[in-house]
Amino acid sequence: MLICKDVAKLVAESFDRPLPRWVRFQLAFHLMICRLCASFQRDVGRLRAEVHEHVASETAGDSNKDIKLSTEARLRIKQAVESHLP
Amino acid sequence: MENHHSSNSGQATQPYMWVDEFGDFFFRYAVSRLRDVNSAEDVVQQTFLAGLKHVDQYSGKGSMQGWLLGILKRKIIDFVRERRRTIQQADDEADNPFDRMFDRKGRWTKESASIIRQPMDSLEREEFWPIFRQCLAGLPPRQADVFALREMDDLSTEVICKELSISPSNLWVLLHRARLRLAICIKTRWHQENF
Repeated sequence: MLICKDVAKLVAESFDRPLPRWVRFQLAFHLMICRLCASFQRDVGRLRAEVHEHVASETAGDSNKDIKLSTEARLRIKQAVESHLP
Repeated sequence: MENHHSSNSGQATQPYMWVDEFGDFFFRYAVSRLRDVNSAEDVVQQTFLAGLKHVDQYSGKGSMQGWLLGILKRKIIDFVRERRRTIQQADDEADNPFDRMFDRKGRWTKESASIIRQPMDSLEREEFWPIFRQCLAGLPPRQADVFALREMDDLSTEVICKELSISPSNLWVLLHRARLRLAICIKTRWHQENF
């Protein structure tokens, strides 16, 4: 029988490596009977989905527009670029 | 849409325009992954200088921004690799969130159970990101770095292992600790702010 600590670890790891079939079976069984671990599984899944969603909208230029280079940094980088222009 | 100028015009953006055209977007991209303003400014500058040096390699296919973004991603990986050398590995290894979240028999502790049990269904997308940023910044740096490469840059575990010269089992440990910690942190903070 898997204990919750192992289940949480395996749930998190399942996003990064394929789990052996027997482990997947035990995991599914535990998740069926343990509401806490099932809730944790939803949470890590949501975390991943939200990050992907946000990164996609950020790359499309749609989010966090208020985060900008400071005036000083912009100037400094511009000067660096200009000093290297051919 | 500041970020689509280059693709719309169909012409290569001249290097003297780069900072104004792409600077903010690249900074935003770098700072969310590196979690530090100075580091982000550094990699953005390095990206433009590397782009300038190799601008003859830009084929004209795809946008100039996309081409430079490829360089920026490379620079972020290089930066993370360098930064790892300065971080004490022992600090990260000693701090195992699983020891705190579970009792000696491997069950959720009362405290962690009460966090896990709370529903997160009404957490809105706009609320999520600021909380996530704080939680990511609160992780041990090596965990946060690999999480950013894995989930924000969508790199495979094989590529991360190769780039950072770490073993798969080492990476899996860093990642599952990061996932557990982030999930708990996000729920905790969100409930603190809303209830």
